[in-house]
Amino acid sequence: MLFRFKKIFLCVFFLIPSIIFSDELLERREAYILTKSSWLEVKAQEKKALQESKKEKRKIIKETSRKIKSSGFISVRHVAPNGEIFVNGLYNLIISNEFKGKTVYQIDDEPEQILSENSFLLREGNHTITYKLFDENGVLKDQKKEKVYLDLTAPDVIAQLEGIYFERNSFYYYKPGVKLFLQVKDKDSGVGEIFLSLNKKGYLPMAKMDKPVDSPGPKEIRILATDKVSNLSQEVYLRYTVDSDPPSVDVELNSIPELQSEKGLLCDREISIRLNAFDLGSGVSKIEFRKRGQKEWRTYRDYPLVPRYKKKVSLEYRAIDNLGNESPIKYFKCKVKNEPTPIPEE
Amino acid sequence: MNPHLFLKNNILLILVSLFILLANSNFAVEQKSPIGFPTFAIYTNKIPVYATLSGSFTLHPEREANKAESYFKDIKQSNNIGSGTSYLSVKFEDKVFKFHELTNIKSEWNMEDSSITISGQIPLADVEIFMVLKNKKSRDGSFFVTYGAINRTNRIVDIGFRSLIDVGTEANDGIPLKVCTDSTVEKEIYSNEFKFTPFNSGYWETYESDTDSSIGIRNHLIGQGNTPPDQIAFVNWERAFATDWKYFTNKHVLTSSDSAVLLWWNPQPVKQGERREVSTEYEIKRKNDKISFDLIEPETGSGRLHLKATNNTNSPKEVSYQLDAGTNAFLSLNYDNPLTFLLDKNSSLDKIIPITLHGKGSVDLIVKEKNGKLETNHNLPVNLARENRDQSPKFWKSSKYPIIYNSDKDGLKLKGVLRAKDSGKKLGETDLISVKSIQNSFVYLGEVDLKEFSGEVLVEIFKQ
Repeated sequence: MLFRFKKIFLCVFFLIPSIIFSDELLERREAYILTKSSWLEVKAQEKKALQESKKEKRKIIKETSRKIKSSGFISVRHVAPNGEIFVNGLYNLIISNEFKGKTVYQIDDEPEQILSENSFLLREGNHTITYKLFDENGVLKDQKKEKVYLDLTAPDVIAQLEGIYFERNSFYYYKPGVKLFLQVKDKDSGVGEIFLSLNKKGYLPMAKMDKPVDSPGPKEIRILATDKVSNLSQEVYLRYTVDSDPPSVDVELNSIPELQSEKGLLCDREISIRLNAFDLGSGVSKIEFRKRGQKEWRTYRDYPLVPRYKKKVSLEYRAIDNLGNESPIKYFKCKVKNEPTPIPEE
Repeated sequence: MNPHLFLKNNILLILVSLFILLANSNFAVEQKSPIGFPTFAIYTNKIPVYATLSGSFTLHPEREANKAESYFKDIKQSNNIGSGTSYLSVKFEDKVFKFHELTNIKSEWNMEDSSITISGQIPLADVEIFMVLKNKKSRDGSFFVTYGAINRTNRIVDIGFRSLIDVGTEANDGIPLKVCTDSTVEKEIYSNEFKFTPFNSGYWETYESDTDSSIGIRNHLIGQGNTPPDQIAFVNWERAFATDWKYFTNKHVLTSSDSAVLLWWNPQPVKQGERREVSTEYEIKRKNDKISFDLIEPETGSGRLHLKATNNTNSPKEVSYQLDAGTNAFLSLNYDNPLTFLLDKNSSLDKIIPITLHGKGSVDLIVKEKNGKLETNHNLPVNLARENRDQSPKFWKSSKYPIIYNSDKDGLKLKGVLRAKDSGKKLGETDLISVKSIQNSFVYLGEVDLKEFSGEVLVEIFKQ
C-alpha cells in the first residue's frame, strides 16, 4: 500500500510541474518539404534501371544473334496445337527414332533403307515415315509410323513505312510520326519469331525493340523472321531519314550596313537583299518574306529584293523544307541612308 | 388558397430554381461514353470534365464555343478492354489493380458539392478505392482529382496510386509538355520521355507557342489542397499503357507521336479503419500576357505569381523581378529576391512562382520588373483574410525551412517545432523572433535546418 502511494506521489510530483511549466501549443499545421534528396533518389533509380536494361539488352542481342546464326543448321521438329508435325530440312530421322538396333525406314512409297546418319527428308510436303526394328536374326520386332510435313519455305517479310515523305536523290525523308508496317506470312508451320535491327545495333526480338523508328536522324532497319521450324527469311531492310529540322535561312546584302549605336543598322540606298536557305534533310521548298506587320507571306523567287524610295527596311523571312518544317521567323531591319553612297574616285 | 395561384407560384418557383441552376456555372450531366461506360460530367464554367465508371476522367474543352484543342483523352478507337487510355493503378501490398479490375464499381454524383465519386473495392480485401472529381468553385476552370483508399481490414496495408493521363489534341496524339525550372538555362519543353519530382517543378502543363490559339492544361503538383506526387514522368503513351506500375523513362523515346503523363504516389501504410487520400489540381490555362498574382488561400496568403516576359532581340537579355510586400505585409518565397532570369535571343519566359504573403486584409504585392533597360512597377492588390496566425509556407524547396507566425502581441517568447508527420519524430526547433510589425500585428520568424529530410511535416508553434 505504501509502495503504491509512493508511486502515485512520484507521478503527481513530476506531472504537476510539467503541466504548469509546459509550453502552450498555439498552432499546428501540415507542410511539405521538397528537398533535392528526393530528386536525387529518383535520378539514381532511373540510372540504375537504365544500366540494368542495357545489360539485359546486350544479353538479348547476343542470344538473338546465336539464334539467327543457328537457324537452318539444326534439326527442328514442331508439333502444332492440332497435332500436326512440322520438320525442317535438317530433321534427322535417326534422332527422332527411339528404336535401338537395326532399323529400316521407308518414306512414303519409296524403297526401304537402313536408318543412318544421312537419313533425311528431301521433298517439301507431307510424308509418312515407317520405321521397322529387326533383331539380330532379322526378325521384325517392332514398327511405327510418323506423319510429318517437311517445311523448307522461309516466311515472307513485307515491310513498309507509312507517313509523310519526300524523295530526294533516291533518299527518302519522313516526318516524325512515320510508322513501320510489318507483314510476316508463313503458310506452312507458321511464323516463329521476328527480329529487328535498328541502325546496325544488332538484332532484337520485335517485342524487345524499345527504340522508336520515328526519332530524328538517319535510320536503317533490318528485319528477319523465322518460322516454327527455324527457316530463316531473307533479310529485308529499309533506309530513310526522319527529318524534323527546319532549314536555316539568312539574308545576304550587296553591301555591309553600318552599325550605329543609337540608330541600329544603316543601309545604303542601293541596298539589295537576297535570301538564302539551306537544308540538310529533305531540302528547301521555299523561302517566304513579308514586311513586318503584314499578315500575308510572299514567296521569294531568287532575285534580289530592292527596296526603292524607302526610309527603312523592315523584313521578316522564313524558310520551309519539303516536309513542311518551318524555320523560326527571322527579322532584318535597317534604316536607309538619305544620300546615295558616293562612288570612290580611282 | 386559390389552386391557380398555388400552381402559378409553384411554376414560378420551378422556373426560379431552373434559372439558379443554369446561372450557377458548376453543374453536372450524365452521358454514355463511346465504349458504353456511363459517363458523368461536371462543368467548370463551360468546360465539362467527364468521369467514367472505368475510373478515368477526361476533359473536352474543344467541344465548347471557345474551341480549345487540348484535352485529356480517355477513349481511343481500339479493342482494348475498356479501361480507356487514361487509367488509375492501385498498388495494394504486392499486387497492382487497374481501376476497372476492382469489384462493386459504383458512382455517386453530388450536385450540391459539384463532385463525382467513382468507387470500387479491392478484390478479396475489404479496402475501398475511390476517385473524386470536384470543381473548385472559387477558381473557374479548375478541378481537383482525389484518389483515396479506406482500409476496413483488421491489419495495416500498404496502398499507393499511379495515374496515367493520356494528353493530346484532336489533331495530334502527341503534344509538347512543359515543366517550370528555377532557371531559364535548364530544359523546360519536352517532346521526349522525362521523369521528375515536384522538387524540379511545381507543375507541368501542355506547351503552346505564343502564336498557337489553342488553350492548354496545367497540373499543379504543389499548392493548397495538393498532395505532391513522389514522381512524375512524361512518357510515350504506347509504352506506358502496357505497364501498370513500374516505368523507367528513356530520353531517346519521343512523346511527339503519342504523349501521356504518369504520376506516382508511392505506397504508404494505412492503419485499420483509416484512409489515405491524395489530390492533384488540373486547370484550364488562360492566355496570360502580363504579370499577375493568383491568391489561392486568403487565410494563409499562399498564392502563385505568374511571370511573363519576352525577348524579341537577337541577343540574350536579363530580366529581373524585385518583389516587395510593402509596409503592410511580409512575403516569403523559395527563390532569391530579386528573381533573375537570362532569356535567350528570341525567347520568352513564362513561369509560375509560389509565394506566401503574410499580413491581414488588403495588401499590395509590388513587382519591380527590369527587362533590359526598361523598368516597370506592377502593383498587384491582394485581399488576405482578416484572421491569420501560422503562415509558414505549405511547400518549401530547401533544407532551411522558415517558421512564421503572426501575433497581435509583441515581445512573446515563441518556439517553432518541426516534426515528421508519419513518425512524429522531432526534426528540429527554433526560437521565433519578432521581425516586422504589420497593421498592429507582429511577424515572428525562425528557421529550422532539415538537412536532407524530404516529406510531410507538422509545424507547431509553442508559447514558452
